[in-house]
Parts: sequence; C-alpha cells; structure tokens
Amino acid sequence: MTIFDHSPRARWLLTLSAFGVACGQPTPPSEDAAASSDATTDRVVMSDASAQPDAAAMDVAALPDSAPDATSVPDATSVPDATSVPDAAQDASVGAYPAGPYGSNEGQTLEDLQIEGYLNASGAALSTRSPFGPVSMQSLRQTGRRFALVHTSATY
Amino acid sequence: MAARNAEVNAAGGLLVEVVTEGLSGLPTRANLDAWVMAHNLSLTTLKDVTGRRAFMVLGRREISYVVDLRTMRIVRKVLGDTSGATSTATLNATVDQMLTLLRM
Repeated sequence: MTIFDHSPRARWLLTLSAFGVACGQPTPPSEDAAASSDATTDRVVMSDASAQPDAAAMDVAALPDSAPDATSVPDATSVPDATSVPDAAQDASVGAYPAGPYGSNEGQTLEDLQIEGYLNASGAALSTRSPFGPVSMQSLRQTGRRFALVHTSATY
Repeated sequence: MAARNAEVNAAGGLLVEVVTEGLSGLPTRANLDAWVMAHNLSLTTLKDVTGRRAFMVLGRREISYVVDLRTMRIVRKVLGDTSGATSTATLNATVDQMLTLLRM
C-alpha cells in the first residue's frame, strides 16, 4: 500500500494520521487524556458567567490556560490569611481530616477546631508579623509536621 | 514555650499556643497581640472565636496536648498549673515528651 492508495482503509489511516499531527501527538487520545479534557470542560462550565460562581471557581477561572496546576499559581486578588504557610510549603497530601468520634482525652481524636490567629510554623519572626486569620487543626496538619504540642493559656 | 521553639521545629514538631480565655471571657485580637508581645512569641499563636469551641474542647489554662498530626489522635494530655502561677515546669516536661516521640 502507498500513500497514493485510495482504498477506504488507506483514506481512514491518512485521516487518523492527520488528526494526530493536528493534535500534536501521533496516537489517538488515551482515556487519561479524555479525562483531562473532561476536566477542562468542567472548568469552562464553572467559569461561565451565567453559572453561580464560588471562590474556587473564580480562582480557577482567573488562571491562564497554560497553567498546569491551579494550586501552584498565586491568585493576585486573594487576601493572604493565616491558613497559608509562607515559610513552609503546605502539604496537600495530608488528606481529609480524620473522621470522628472526637474527644479531648488521651487516645481520642481532636476535632477540627476552627479558630484564628497567627500560623507561624517556622518561628523565624514574631508571630504578629504573620498574617492574622482563620486557622484550623487541618491547617496545622498541612505544615507537614509530625506532632504538635497544643497549649492552652489565658490572658487575665 | 518560646525558648523551646527552635528545638521543637528542628525535630519536626510544632508548638501551638491557644488563648482560650481573655479578661472578659472570649479573648480579643488585642489580647492575643499583647500576649505575643509580652512573651516575645515566634510560634503559632491562636485564640478562641465566637462560640468558644476551643474553650469547650481544650479547656481552661493550663493544659498541654501532644497531638499526632497524621491521625489527630491525642497521645498525651498533661494538666499544668491552674492556680494562675506561671511555672513552665509542666510545659517543659511535655515538650520533652514530644521531642522523645519525634526522635523515635
């Protein structure tokens, strides 16, 4: 068979090759690529002005198309809060917060308290120089540290 | 607590101060800032919020919890001074226990 062969099979192969060249890849898209394409479609839908936007969607919509990972691109419009760890990379691999039941005695699981203050994991500077904002127990997990000593105090 | 911060950081731990009570109950941000300045704290310093959930869960001063951050399981709970005194003996002992866990 040559490329000048006009059989139906040859025409189909030529069409397929042309499609591959146009897409920048020699083979048809794999299932993973198809999934990625679906995700792109989802982002487009989420950024639709007629849709109900949420903060996450707005962040994604603000990213350039070439950004490979939404979490790696700072959002210039966001206000930094204490949940960001400026001096240590946040560890996204910690996963979801452990499920209950919760308690406050030895052997029990501490609940995901939502409080506020200064998350200062590095200890490089006075805490009031860190951003003030909401901090959760999940935020502590995301510092990547193994153990925390949580100490209660009072200002009388 | 501040004096042990570098040592704990180097070992992979995290010191967290939670102000659960202020002069009139719920601590304010001003209370927290004053606390940081008074003790020259360069560690994670937090305060309770409306609803006082931290106070209900963690309790009044002085209690130290050593928490495994992977599981959030409380591995040590140590009651310190509740008289209003400012001894750091119990806290230092608890820091030592956490350092032992970190070095295992």
